[in-house]
Amino acid sequence: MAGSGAPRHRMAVDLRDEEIYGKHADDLIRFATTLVGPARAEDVVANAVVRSMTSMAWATVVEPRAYLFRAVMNEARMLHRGEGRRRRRERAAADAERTLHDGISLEVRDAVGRLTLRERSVLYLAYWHDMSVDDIAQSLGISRRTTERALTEARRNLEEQLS
Amino acid sequence: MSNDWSPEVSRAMHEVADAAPMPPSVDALAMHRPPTPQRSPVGAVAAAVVLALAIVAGLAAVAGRERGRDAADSTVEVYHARYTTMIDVHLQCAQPLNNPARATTSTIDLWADRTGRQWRDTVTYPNGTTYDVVRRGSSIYPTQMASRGTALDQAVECRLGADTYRFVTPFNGVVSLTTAAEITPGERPYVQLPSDTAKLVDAHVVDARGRPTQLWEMRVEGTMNSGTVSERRLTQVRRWWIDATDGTVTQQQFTDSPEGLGTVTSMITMTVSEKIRVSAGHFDTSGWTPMETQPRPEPPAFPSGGTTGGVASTVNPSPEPSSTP
Repeated sequence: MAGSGAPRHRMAVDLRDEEIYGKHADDLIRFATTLVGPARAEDVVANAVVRSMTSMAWATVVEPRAYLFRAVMNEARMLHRGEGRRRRRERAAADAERTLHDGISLEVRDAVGRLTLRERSVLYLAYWHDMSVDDIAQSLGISRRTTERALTEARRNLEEQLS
Repeated sequence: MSNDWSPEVSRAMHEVADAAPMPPSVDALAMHRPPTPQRSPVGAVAAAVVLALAIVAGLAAVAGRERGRDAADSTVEVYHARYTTMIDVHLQCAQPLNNPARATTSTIDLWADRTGRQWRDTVTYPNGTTYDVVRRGSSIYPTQMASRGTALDQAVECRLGADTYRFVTPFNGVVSLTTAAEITPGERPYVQLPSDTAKLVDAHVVDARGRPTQLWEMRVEGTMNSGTVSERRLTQVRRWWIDATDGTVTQQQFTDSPEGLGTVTSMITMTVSEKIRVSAGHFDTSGWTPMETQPRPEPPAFPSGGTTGGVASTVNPSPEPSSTP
């Protein structure tokens, strides 16, 4: 997987990194899709993985899966912060057009869109990984109480919006 | 954590997850350049503050390195194996059943800490869900077990009139007893091995990944009863591809052939075999669901007298173990 030219990132040489990524790639892309939608999930995962694996801290990470999930969440958060309202409106319109192609109904897109990033993250880990509140809190680096509140809010909001 | 999800939550989670694109390839990542975060004036001031704090933090970093060393010490060396499983169905069923809660493929990761006497399996299904099991004491007859997640039903079915023929993979999530034993070839298990039950078919073959192996096979002929339908002849064939140098089974195949219905084949292939270090927390089961364990069965008691097969036998009161296993 060595890149051509003068690679700026060292990830090209580490087989273990490649294995870690291969193991979690599907999961990370689904997580990112839940956070930012299918149109931007690839970028978010690529940014998160490259930033993580090229950082000095990566060599000391003992739980790479949890680290990468946090990195994806941070990347999604940066994406949200960095966008102006105008761009969000434009993208919302474009996303609505893509709905027919990506399989997410407008109703679900709208309901999920009303959740905060934290609520989406907590709900994803609880639903797809059946993780306990404590495990989720540890994985995302937030308190148990915040995790419980986010999960309750996420469930209540989706049930209200989609019932 | 409650698994009692409402239909609204399930619908939203599935719709979004189903829309996930393919993850970027490794090559794409190698060429990827993450955008540089734009720093606002407020951010620049914050950065200056951070720089000042960094100087103060220098001393703390020394302590941090010590903690990092402690973290390295809290890892354990394990044997890690990864398997892929699949079910290949060629059945003449009029009405195959389709249940989304089932899976016909999976990936199983197995970490064996033989020193610490603990083993962990993680099964990853195509829908992204996982099922974990940790066993302690013994990989064959654990004294403690706990699980996390939901094991999907790896089975196929087809209807025979009012009855149903059902095939369940023997490689359903938790690595089977024999497989678990097979990855620790130096530790002869308390279960039968291929060499006990099967015949060597070919001493020089390659498995599906081109590895030189021996092929062992066990064939069973019998009948199956599918409920009210009359009995049907059934052939079951189990094959093992074994690395002759160390006894590791690199691949297993199990084929069920109900007469007149076709065949179903289940395969498990080892794709990774390595020694790695993982954090000690890798085997932590806090918050997991405890599972029942079965005690190691004792060998059959030696007959205490009487007759055996109608022939009177005299029993040695202090029998010596048999010299042949």
